Amino acid sequence: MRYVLNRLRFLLLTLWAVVTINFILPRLMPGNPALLMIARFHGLISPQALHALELQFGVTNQPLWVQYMTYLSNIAHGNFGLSLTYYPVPVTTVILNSLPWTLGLAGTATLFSAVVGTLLGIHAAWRRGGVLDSTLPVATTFTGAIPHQWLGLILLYVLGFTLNWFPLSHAYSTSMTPSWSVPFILNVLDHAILPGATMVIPTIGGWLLHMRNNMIQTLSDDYVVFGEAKGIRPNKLMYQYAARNALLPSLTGFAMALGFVVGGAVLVEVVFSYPGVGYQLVNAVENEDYPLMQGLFLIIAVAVLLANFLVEILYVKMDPRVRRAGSSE
Amino acid sequence: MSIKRKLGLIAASAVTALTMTGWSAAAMAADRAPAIQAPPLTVYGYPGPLMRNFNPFSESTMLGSLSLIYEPLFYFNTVGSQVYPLLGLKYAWSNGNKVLTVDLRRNVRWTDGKPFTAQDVAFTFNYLKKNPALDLEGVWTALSSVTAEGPYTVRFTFKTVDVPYSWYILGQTPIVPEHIWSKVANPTKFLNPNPVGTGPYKFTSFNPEEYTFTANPHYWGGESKVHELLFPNYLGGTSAQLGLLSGKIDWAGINVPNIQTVYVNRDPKYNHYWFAPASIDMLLPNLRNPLLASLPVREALSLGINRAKLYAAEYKYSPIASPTGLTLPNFKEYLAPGLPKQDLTFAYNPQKAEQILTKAGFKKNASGIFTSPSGKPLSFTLQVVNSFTVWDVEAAIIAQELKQVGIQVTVNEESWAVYQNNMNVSRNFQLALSFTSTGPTPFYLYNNLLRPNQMFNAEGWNNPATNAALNMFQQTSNPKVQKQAIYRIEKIMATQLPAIGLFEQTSWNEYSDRYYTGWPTAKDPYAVGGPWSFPMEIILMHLRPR
Repeated sequence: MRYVLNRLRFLLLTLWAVVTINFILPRLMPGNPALLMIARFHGLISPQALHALELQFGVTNQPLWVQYMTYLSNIAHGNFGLSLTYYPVPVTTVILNSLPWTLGLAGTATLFSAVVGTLLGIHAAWRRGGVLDSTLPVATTFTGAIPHQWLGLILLYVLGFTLNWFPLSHAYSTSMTPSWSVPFILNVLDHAILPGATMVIPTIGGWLLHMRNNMIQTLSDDYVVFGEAKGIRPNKLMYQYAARNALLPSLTGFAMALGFVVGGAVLVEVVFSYPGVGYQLVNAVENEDYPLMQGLFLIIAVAVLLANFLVEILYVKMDPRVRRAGSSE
Repeated sequence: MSIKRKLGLIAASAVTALTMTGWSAAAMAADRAPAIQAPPLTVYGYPGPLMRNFNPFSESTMLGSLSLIYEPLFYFNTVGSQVYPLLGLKYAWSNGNKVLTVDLRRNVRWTDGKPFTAQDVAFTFNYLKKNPALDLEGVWTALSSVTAEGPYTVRFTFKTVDVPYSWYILGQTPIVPEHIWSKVANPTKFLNPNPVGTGPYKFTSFNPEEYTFTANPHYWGGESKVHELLFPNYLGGTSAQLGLLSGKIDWAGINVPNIQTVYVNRDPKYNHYWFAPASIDMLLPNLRNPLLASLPVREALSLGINRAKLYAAEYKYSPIASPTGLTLPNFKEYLAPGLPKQDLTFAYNPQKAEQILTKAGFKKNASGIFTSPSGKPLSFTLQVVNSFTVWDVEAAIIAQELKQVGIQVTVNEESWAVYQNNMNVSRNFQLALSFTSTGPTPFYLYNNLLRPNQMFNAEGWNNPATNAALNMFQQTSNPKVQKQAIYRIEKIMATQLPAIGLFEQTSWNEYSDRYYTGWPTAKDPYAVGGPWSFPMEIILMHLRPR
C-alpha cells in the first residue's frame, strides 16, 4: 500500500513537471502564429491581414508568469482554448476528431504486435533451434529495419493501387456516415488493414526478440528444470512458470508503447490519409499552434504517465519481490 | 489447450477476418457507381483535416465557403481582362476617385429565401469595421465609410485615393446576410455550421472524411449543371495524387511531378491539366547589405543563373520570368512598346557577369571568389523553406551556377516559421527565394514588392521614381494612365534589378472532363484554373454535362 501511495505521489509530481514544460517549450520557438498563418498563403493575400489575425489569435504580450497562471487554471477547467490552425475550432474538437482513430488503429496495432510477437517469442524460445526459432528472429529483424513510410507506400502501391485489393486512403469510405452498423464497421476494418499492417510488420520483431531472449534466460533457471523433472505438463510449465516471469520486462516496454500510441503515427497517417493525432501534432508544430500543441503534448504525456503508473500497480500483483520490498519499508 | 489447437484457432480467425473483408469489399465496390448523366464532381484543394467551419471571415474556412456559398461583388479574372458581375452589376468612380458607387443585382435571394439588398452589403463592410479581427484584407485602412443608398446601390468613400485597393473590396470580400450575422455574438469564434449565402451551391452534409454541396436551385445565375460537389479529405500530396490517378478525384490543385506520363497518359482523352501563371518567384537580394546594394553585383547574379536549367529541373511547369516583372502571358498588354531585348528576356552570360564584376573593381581571390577592393568576398547565404521541394532543387542549382562565376552561395533550408520571421520581420537574410503577390493587374506584385515599409518588401527597395509611379497608378482609374505607370516600373525592374526574377509561380490545376466540359484552358483563359476560392463559381457555372 505504501508502495502504491509512493507511486501516486511520484505521478502527481511528474504531471506537474510535464504541464510546466508543456507551457514553456512552444514559447521558445521563434516567430508568431499570426505571421505563419499569412505565410501559409504564400503572400497571395494582403499584408494587412497580420494585424487582424493577431487580434483573432490573441497574441498577447502579458508577462510570462501571468500567462502561466492563466494556463494552469484553464487546464484545471478542461479548457484547452481554440486551435490557431483551425481557428476558431476548439482544441478539444480537433483532438476528439482524431484521437479515437489513433487509439483504434495504433492501439490495436500495438496490442496485436505485442501479443502476437510475445507469443511467437515464447514458442521460439521453448523450442530453441526449431523451425520458428530459426526463421522468425531473422525475418522479423529484417522487417523491423524497414522504415514505416516506405513499407506503407509499397503496400499501398502494390496491394492498393495496382492490384486494387484494398482501399487507397481514409478510415472509411467517404460517402458513408459514421455509425455503429455492421457495414460501417466492416468498412472501417477494410480500411484499417493496410495501415495496420504497416504498423505491425516493422514492430513485431522487437517484441518477439525481447520475449525470446527473456525466455531463454528464464528457461535456464533451476526451478524450470525442477518443474520439468517433477512432471509438470510442458504447456503449463511454458506459460504459467517460465513465461510469466519472463514477461515482466516486456510489460514495462508495453506500458511505454501504449502511452506513446496516443502520439499517433504521423508517417502512416500521411501516407494513408488516415485521421490521427500524429498528423495533428506535426501540423500544430509547423503552424506554431500553441493551444493545439499544448493540448496534444499534454495528452501524450498524461497517457504515458498513466500507462506507466498502471503497469507499476500491475507489477505489485505480478512480482512478489516488489510486494515484499514495499512492505519491508 | 495444445499449441496445435491454438495455432488452429489463430488460423481460423484469420481466415474469417479475410472473408469478412472480402464481403465488405464487394459491398464497397457498389460504393459510388456514378449516374451516367450528371455524377457528383469530386474536388480536392488543400490538405485536411476537415473541420465544420464555414465562417467566410475565418482564415481556415473550408474550401467552397468563399465563392460557392458566399459571393463577392465581382470576380476579376487574373489571367485575362474579364470582370464578371456577381452580386454587383457595375461600379463607377467619382469625386476624384474617392467615391466608388456600386449598382447591385436585383432579385437575388439568400438560400433561406430572404431577399438580398444593399443593406446586406453595407452591413458586411460595417461589420468588418466593428470587428477588426475579421478584416483580413484590411479594407478599413483605405475606406472611410460605406453606406446603402436605396435598395440596390452602395456608396464606398475612401480616405485617400487608392484605386487598386478596390480589388480587395469588390473582388475579395464575401457578402453575408445581415438578418443572420447581426445576431452573432462573437463572429471571430463563430463556426457558422449551416451557412446561408447567395452563391451557386448550398451546404448539404459534413463528416470528417468528406463534406458535400448541392446546386442552389434558386441561384440568380440559374441552377448549376454540376448538381453535386464532394470535397474529400486528404492529408497530403502522395495520398491525393493516388486519389487523382485512380480517378477518385475529378478536379484537383496539386503539384504532380512528371504529370504528362503519370496523369495524362493514363487516360489522354479525359485527363488534362493547365498550370496558369499566377505570379513570379524571385531571388531577393537584401539591399541593406552593401555588396548586394551595388548594381553590378546584382547584374552579375542575374547573368550567372541559367534559368533554362531551372525550367528543365521542374518538369517545365514554370515558364521563365520576364525581367519586367510582368506575369506573362496574363499581362502582355502591359508590355511597354519598344523595350530592348535585354529588358524582355533574361540572358545567361557568365563571361559578361565576370566582366561586369571586374569592371566594378572586384578581383578573384585565391579560392576563385570575387572580392571587393576593401577585401569583402562575394559570399552569401541563400534562404529557402525546407518543405518546398521545388525551391530546394532550384536553390541547389543556383548555388552551383553562381560558383562558376566566382560568387559563393550557401543554401540555408529553414522551417516556414524561421523563414517568415527572417524575411518579413527581422529582415535577417542575404539572398532568399521568395513568392510575390498576384492580382488582376501588375500593380499588386509591384506594390507589395517595391513600396517602402511594406511587410513583403523584404529586400528594402526604396526609390523615389518607383514610388512616384506606384502613386500614379493608385490615383487614376484611367487604364491608359495606369499603363504608363506600369511601363515606368517595368523599366526600373529590368534595369535596376531591385529583385531578380527567376520563374513564374503557377496555379496547380488538374481536371477530368469525362463527364463535364467547359473547363478554362490556356486557349480559353476565362478564369484561373484550379479549385481556388474566387474562380470556382465561374468555372462551375461554365461546365456542362457531356
